[in-house]
Amino acid sequence: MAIETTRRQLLITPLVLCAAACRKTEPDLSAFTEEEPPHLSSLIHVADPLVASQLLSGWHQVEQNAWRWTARNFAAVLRPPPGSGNLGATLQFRLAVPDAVIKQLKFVTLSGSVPGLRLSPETYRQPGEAVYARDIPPGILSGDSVRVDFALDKAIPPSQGDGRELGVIAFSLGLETK
Amino acid sequence: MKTVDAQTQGAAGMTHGRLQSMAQAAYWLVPPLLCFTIYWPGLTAWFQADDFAWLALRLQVHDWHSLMRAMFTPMAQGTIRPWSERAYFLAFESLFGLNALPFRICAFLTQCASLTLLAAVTRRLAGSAAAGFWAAVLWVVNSSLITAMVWSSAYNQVQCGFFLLGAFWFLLRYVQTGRTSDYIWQWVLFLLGFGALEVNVVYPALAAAYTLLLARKHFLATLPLFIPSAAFALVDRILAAPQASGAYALHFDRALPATLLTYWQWALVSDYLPTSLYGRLESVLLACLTLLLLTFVTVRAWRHDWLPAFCLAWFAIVLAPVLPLRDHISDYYLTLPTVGLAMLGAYALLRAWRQPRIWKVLAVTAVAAYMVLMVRFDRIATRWWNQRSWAVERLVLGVERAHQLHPDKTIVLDGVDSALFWAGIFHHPFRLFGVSNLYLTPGSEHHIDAHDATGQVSDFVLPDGAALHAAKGDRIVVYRVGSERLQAITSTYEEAAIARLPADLPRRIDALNPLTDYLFGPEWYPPDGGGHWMPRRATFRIAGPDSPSERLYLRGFLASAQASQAPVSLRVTLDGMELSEARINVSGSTFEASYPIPNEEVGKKEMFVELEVNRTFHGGADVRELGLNFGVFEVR
Repeated sequence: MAIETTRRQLLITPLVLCAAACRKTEPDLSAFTEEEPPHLSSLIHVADPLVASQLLSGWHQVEQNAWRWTARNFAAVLRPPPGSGNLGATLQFRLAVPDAVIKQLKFVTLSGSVPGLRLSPETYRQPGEAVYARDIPPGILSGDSVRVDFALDKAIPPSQGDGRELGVIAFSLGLETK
Repeated sequence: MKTVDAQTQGAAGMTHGRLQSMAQAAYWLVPPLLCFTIYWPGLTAWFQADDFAWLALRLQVHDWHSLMRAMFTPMAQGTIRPWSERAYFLAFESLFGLNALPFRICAFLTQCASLTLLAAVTRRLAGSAAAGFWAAVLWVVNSSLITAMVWSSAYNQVQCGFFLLGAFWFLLRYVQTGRTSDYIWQWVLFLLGFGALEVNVVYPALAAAYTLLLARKHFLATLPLFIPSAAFALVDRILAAPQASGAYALHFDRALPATLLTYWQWALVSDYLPTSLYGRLESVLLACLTLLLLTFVTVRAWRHDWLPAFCLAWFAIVLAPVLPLRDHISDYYLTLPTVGLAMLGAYALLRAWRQPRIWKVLAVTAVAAYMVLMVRFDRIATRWWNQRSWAVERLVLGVERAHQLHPDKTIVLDGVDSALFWAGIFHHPFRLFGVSNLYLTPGSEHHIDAHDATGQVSDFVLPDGAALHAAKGDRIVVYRVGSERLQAITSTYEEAAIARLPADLPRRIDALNPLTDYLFGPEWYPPDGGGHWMPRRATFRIAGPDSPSERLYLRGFLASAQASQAPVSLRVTLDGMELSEARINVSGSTFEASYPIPNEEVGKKEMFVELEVNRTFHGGADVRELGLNFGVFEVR
């Protein structure tokens, strides 16, 4: 009987040790890639925590892991994409104008600017998703970064229920070489 | 003086006893130790190729019902191997994730158990402990074991070997003791073997051949074993309809003897090219071993010793199911047939040892030559498999890391070679950690061998225009695959891509590729992991054909909610020219439609395509108006 027990223990022990040795843990994968020196991104999804440092001012916290409310004035910094200095680029801002904004403000007008260039405004009278896209000619984008500023003609002012100034909902912002 | 003598005798007795115990331990331990020594790189190998399909099985399991489906639904040529593939991968991956070591330990331990069983079986058959030992040794060095000992997807061979040898061991015990419990255990292991590999179906033939030749009064007791085998063969034939073409098509023709000869050669010597030095040595050795073994079988049969004939029959019977696979001759199919040849070799060695010295010298020389060649080949091939698996590991885990760092970008790989593509990327290992979109840089297809019967490299390569568009928008991260870790080259690649890649529209559009979204009109719903849905009407752009004979192909997926509906009419317009309407049968899981392209479109850089279905539907809680779900658009 004792021999049986010992034999069973001998069989079970390696299995337990094996299981313990091979316990599933989150592996550290940092050695599996060699990354480029950090640089700004040309395309930012505003909910991505890795590019949060590129959102300079006027951005509220991330909601539903997908978007942020903006304030009336907001700004971000982007990297000019490869070739954009010579070929020019298109600025694309994906946004949504919520029903609440149109109900309260009737319409909103969005305008943007980069250093040395004021971009034409766009007025939104209907709620829904939209893309504010504007061309930036060659010669404007040079250097490693470019600041993009946006301004709304009006916004929902802070209220008792929500102390934030609310402009539009932002999804992503990017520059694309033409 | 008497006391001293008694003490000396006692000590000598103890030493003799200890030596005997050590010899006995060595008897059982040497073959498993050899297994670990020769195939050590197999123990440290990572996953590769089909392993990723089995590892992805876990993604399909959400509850008891889906677990049962994952365990028993026929897959890959209609096979159902619940223990050796489904349970093996599901259990170990659930416990240990992508740590391959436990998988490999399990394979090695199972093989060690099989080696022990083979030694015990041969010992009983030949009535010689030495024969048992040598059978295990001759089997473990055989190069047909390489794949099974290094690749987790070939565990089915290892596990089936355990069940076959276990069942046969209990048959031998039953023949000797007549105990019902042995007979029942034989049945238990035999029936379990069906969950390991289809080859298990031949076990009744092995049992019948053995009893017919060597234990005739038990022959009738083996006949009921044919019933489950026949039932299994019938079910297998229903589930896995025979393929008319391709690698798994069965050919009962004049190729059978040639296939048998190839397997015979691979079983006795490895498959070096005959032009190399080893190849020439092998040809000589093959001829000598064939002559010796066949002469031995014939002479022993002449003397009414049927054991060699049974060993040869084991080889033929276990090999028989794969012989008609003329276009899929694989070395690992020999894993289990070579058990017969190992027993035959061991028995021949035993008989030669009882003959005059010339026979001893001949037998030892033949065995030594066989072992030297086999072990050399084992080591080279095992190391090759091991190195390849490590390259796949570096790639897969590198991509996982890249996805951690750049979750919103599409990963593009540069410098992928043939081995890495077919052993890794082709099997979509990245879906295991949620990466569904990974592509190769344009032109990668020129460095990768085509295997059209297996799949298309072009499905993974980013078209020039899409790569250019993505580079301009900084939507990709590009990594170069080298001998070490993945190296990020995004900035330099994007600069170069903008300078040299043409903006041409592609002739093939992967509708699920987010980098081709610029080709689609605003009507489309955003692509998701399951497809790219259109509403009633949608548009896209694609390159025109090079010749009038080329057609426009549209492929996609069908939702279960569509299955009960009548066929959908799909109207296609090319640059304003309406093409003949196609009716899409919505009862299956996929669809394909093709349209002739008007001559006016030949040579055009861009065609504007409009699609319109005659009716739409709503899928469950999805409030969207859904037309058809597309996967690929292609002009060819």
